[in-house]
Amino acid sequence: MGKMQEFDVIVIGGGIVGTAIARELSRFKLRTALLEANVDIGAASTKGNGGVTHSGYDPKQGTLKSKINVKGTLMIPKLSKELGFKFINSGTMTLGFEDSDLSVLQKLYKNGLANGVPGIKLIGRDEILKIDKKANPKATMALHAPTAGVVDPFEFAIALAENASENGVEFFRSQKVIGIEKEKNHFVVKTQNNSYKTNYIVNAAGVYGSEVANMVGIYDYEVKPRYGEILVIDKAIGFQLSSVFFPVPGNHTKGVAVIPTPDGNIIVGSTARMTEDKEDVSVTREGISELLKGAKLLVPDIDERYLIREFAGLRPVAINNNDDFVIAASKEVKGFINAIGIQSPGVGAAPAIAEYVMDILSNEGLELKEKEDFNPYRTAIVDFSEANDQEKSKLIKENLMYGNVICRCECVTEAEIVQAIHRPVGATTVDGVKRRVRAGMGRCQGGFCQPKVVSILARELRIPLEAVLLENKNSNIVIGKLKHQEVKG
Amino acid sequence: MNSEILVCIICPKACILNIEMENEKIISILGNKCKRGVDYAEKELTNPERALSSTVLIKGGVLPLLPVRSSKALPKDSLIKVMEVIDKTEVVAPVKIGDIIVKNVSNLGVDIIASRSMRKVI
Amino acid sequence: MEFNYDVVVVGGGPAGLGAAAKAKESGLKVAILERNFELGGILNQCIHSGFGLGYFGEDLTGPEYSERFIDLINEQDIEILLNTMVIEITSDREITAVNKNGLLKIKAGAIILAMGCRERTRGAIKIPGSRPSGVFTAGQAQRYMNLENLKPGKKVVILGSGDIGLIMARRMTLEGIKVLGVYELMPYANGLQRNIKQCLDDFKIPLHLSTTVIDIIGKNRLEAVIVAQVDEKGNPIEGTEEKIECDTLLLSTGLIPENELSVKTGIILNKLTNGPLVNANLETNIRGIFACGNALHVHDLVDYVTKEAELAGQKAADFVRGKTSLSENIEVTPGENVRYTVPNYIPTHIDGAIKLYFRVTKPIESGRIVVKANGKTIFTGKEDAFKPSEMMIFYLTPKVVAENLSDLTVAIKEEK
Repeated sequence: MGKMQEFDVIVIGGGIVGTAIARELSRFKLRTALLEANVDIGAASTKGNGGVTHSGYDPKQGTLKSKINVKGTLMIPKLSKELGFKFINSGTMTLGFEDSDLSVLQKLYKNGLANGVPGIKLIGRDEILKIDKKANPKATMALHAPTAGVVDPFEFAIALAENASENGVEFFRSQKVIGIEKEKNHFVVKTQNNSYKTNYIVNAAGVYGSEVANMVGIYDYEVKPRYGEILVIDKAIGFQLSSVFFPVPGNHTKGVAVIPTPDGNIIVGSTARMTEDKEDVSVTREGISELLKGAKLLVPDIDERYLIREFAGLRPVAINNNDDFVIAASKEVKGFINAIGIQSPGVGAAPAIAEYVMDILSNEGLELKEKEDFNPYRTAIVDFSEANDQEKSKLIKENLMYGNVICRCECVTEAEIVQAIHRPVGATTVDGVKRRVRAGMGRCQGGFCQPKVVSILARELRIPLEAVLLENKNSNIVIGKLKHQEVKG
Repeated sequence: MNSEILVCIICPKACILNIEMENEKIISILGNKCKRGVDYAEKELTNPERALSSTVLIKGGVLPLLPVRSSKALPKDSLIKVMEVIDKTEVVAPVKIGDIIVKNVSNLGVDIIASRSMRKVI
Repeated sequence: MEFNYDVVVVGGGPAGLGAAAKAKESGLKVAILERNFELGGILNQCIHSGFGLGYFGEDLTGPEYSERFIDLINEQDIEILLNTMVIEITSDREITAVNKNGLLKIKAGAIILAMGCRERTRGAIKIPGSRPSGVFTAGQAQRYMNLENLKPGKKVVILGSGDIGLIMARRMTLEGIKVLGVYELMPYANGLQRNIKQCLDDFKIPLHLSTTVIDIIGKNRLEAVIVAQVDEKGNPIEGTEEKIECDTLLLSTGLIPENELSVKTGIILNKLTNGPLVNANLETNIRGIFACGNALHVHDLVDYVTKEAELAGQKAADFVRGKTSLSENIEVTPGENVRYTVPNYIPTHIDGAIKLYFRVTKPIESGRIVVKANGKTIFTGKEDAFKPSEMMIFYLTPKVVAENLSDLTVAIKEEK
């Protein structure tokens, strides 16, 4: 075995929280690493949520969540420009239908004002329909929050990771942490096949946040998953929404929302129930019906014939912390910082969480010296389908692979797929390609392009076709060759 | 006397054939819309046959596999045996449609032939 | 790069090939735009036989059928652009396509849409459960096996009794892959009877009707599916659940015409078929744009596709040569027990016979075609059996359609 790699900071977990922290750390003269248990980053809770960057009227005033939410969401527009990920500033409307809803909306409105959410307003039916004519006309009132928006959460995480990597953070994937040893002045983080030495650890391990904390003897918080199902509706439904819609919220969740994605789809999500299983993201029949029912209440034109995908995600909830985020340095274990229990509104809050973690690290004695050569910009892979004719011609001239359309539903070219594979923290799986460039995201769900994506992955990664994975370990698409060459003696 | 019901598979019409038999001989067939139904029933009840298609490995072709088929229908119970031969066969591009890939496969008097042309990859 | 052709065919599968060959007979300048590296379309992976009985009177495999047309096309002066993806068609018949030579702008006298169809996905049929690898559409598995020499799995469950699923059951069995059973939601099989016989019965593969997959199990690779019987409404019946261990699930649950391009052009689709609404010339609502094959409606036999494509090719050529005129049309409405008809419009006066394709909504053991016009029955057919899996053809002749029509309904009257 070679010499153990040494770092100043190790971030455990490559979801939206971990990648945002890694990117923030990459501003400073530090040796930083990020360890991700899965084959790809952003492939756990991050890929399984609606992508709304909430305005922040919902978290109870005075909580950590409320402060971080409002601040983080306001950072998103600028970040989206810096990092080249899509963000639509759609705003949200929480629709009320009955008189009893009014008091709930008023309460939320007041809470929002107290949280310092800019621009929120209670509006009536005319204004609702002016903002989005697809809203249920039976809605009589709404809380409108104009600062909210929507991102592709995995695109956001990938953008953060790529930029962090380009600024020197080392990413190690398929590295599930199985033990942490606290030595006198440092930690040794052990994975199944490696050990890493570090002075500081940021625990951003999502639903496994408490397991990782337990490894250093911290038992203060228990993180449990809140399971939620989500539906994706085809662009072919023929309309797009201009706003995110919520119903009047329930006890722990914001209810079934209808969300326009930055790519022109509509998603419906999510159901919500606490669970013990940290792996099971199976979708249920009841969940699908509940979502469709909820969606039609907000946007009656939602039509289930245009469903193209159903999936589920797990939100990490710190159950003994009043639903609040846990972002703090451990008092007992010096150098260990938790960023756990980051359920909704984690996506919008992520940039502010990262800044907050920097303050904590600094307080804990980590010296944050800014790099002179930090590059905050990341350019997205050029989206062929969005380019105009002239740009398309130019792209093909510069790179012939732009002339080879692989995914016909989303018009994704070979050039984009190859870039997705070779970028920093690049795609190594079929779903990894899908999350980066949308191949297979459309209505045929990879029916046509999956075999082609498999061969491009095999070619670019120099692995056999049968070694190509869908997503997780052992999720090989095919199991081997059908016919074998005779071994001639 | 006994009766058999068969679904004719000669064409997509899939006529249902009601067959009366005596001493393993067909006395009458009802339900067939054309004469081929009679031939099929006779064949199916005495010596059932099936066309076989599969693929063989091909070297230097635009694809890794060449589709092949039996030149005539094969006895139904020989299919697995013939598949074993096909699975061990490998050819080299170029191949023309109809080329014999395995002559007189398993001594059944039927050839395995190429069911497409495949050019050599340049 | 700019090009001009009299007739441009989008898609080089059986429909595109048939249409192009026919259009060329009129001596016009014809081009085919094909996204794959070779012509032939999905037929190239359909290595089984059963093609050509109607058109050639011979039993051919898919590649053999397509090669006949490819040879025919190659003998003629037809421009073939391979590896070329059409990304836009305007209503004034300008096509934007891309290939490695760049962005192509192609002006066409007439356009024939022959893009084929795609398979219904897991998402569209809403199967609950986890999302492991090992869940394929039947055609996808067919491609892996027949074109790429890859083995999808070892133990297979097939959902849906569509023809591709049945064909794949046999194909996999012959290659030593265990097919555990075919499960069909409906109380009847969706594929052709001959395929049930020679693809399932021959290999003792069970077909379970009124049964469906209600859960998918496995985090990484598929580990099992849960099947259950369903009631008349298609809802699972409690207590009938059965867990079947398998590493592969094939979905053969229907095909949908591919018309993303058509919709962007402004072509109106028939909600019953997902293909364009067409008149007797197979012309869409946009003048000079025609449709045929599985892009128009899903066929069960390629022979019908070719016939239909030839009509589209002929009419597109006639259009370019100014030989078609705008005639007054009436709507053809599917009546009782009829799911859809193609075409959707016919002229008020017809000179020759018009082929009317239709499908029934449910199996009918005995029934008669009844054609009504202006509220009156104008034709009653012979007693016959009808299956949803079989596309039916009815000839509307000038004799049947003698009077001045305002509407026309085609129904099947059930005989008890």
